[in-house]
Amino acid sequence: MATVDATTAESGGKDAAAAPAPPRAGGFPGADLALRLLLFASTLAGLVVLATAKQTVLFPVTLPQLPQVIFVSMPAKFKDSPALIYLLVALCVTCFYSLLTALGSLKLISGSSTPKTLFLLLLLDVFYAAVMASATGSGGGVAWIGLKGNSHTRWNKICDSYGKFCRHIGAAVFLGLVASIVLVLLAALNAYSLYRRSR
Amino acid sequence: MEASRVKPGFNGVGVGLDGSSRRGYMGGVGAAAAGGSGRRSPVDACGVSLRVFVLAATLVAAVVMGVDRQTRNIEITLADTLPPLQVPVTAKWSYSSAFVYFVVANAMVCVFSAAALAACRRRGAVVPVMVGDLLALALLFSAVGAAAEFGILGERGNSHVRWAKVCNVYGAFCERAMAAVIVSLIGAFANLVMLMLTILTIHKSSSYY
Repeated sequence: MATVDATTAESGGKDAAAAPAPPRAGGFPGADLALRLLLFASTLAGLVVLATAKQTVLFPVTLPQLPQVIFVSMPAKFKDSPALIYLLVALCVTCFYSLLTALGSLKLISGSSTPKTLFLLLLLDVFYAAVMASATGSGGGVAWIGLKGNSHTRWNKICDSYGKFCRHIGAAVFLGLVASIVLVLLAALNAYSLYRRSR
Repeated sequence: MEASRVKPGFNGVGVGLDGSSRRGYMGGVGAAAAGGSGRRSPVDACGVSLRVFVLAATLVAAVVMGVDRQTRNIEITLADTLPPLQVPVTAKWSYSSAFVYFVVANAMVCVFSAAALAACRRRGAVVPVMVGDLLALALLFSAVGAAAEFGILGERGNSHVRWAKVCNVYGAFCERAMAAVIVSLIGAFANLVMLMLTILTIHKSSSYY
């Protein structure tokens, strides 16, 4: 902590003689960039997995007037549920955001940033953490009902019929959870480094 | 050394920020840091009032959802000769995992807000309270998302997977649940605004501003 105080008490923390490990002008920029790349990877993967969640299952149906059993095909796509559409939109937006802010983080590393950069990144991180958390909550709720059903409302589970579809949705919700956790970590990291600079 | 970190023009005028509360907070922090006196910083009125609002909103939401139940008598006609049977059916909040998560998350954020209110005067508690606020934000928003989604499924059903809507039968139950979700959503937005105000406060007191 003494090196941090000494560094920030000097010209602007951009002193090259300071050790590379303690936070400089940006505060933990290496970890920042790594977390943002992880965020980009997880949201991109979640996006792809959710968009390709599609399965058609043939159900045998016996009608009394027909002698044989006919097959009815019931497709399942992610567009059937508004919660999954919201999850897809949130993943798209967070993916794009993580790309843009990874560039901002590169600016922090190279040291050519203004003090407002960290502040703006932190504000946006908090906002996107809220968005991603709500999308994960909704998607997770729908996925849970699809997995377990709900006997009280007589909603039967669909995951034993639609195996591949359920795996895709489950993976997408899990990746959304990873993205929310990474965003909260980023916000906490940046908030801590912003706080250290003010002391 | 601490006093020189805050720009001289800042303590006098509010730099366009709202209210004397923030100026008082900044001046108080500068003075307390320079004087090295004690561990108590003056209270920031906006932050405290927002936190009290979040406490109240999450408490109300958890309680309203927690007492939500409805029993209705459905008439079933077995045969024309027999009188119709009255079957009581109940809807409770605990029948849905999403609502259970909603009540638990709101209760946790309520308890955390009370603890943060008790500890907000201490200067060493700024970082843990901020991290806790972040976690509370994520918890609240995800709980609102899950409960709102369950409510939408109850209102409209989902024809693709053959989930029938339930709110035509349990009207009052659905209305109370929706009210709880809306109150919690307002509390979540208040938490977001409070967190942004905290970040703004820290940024304004930073040495590079």
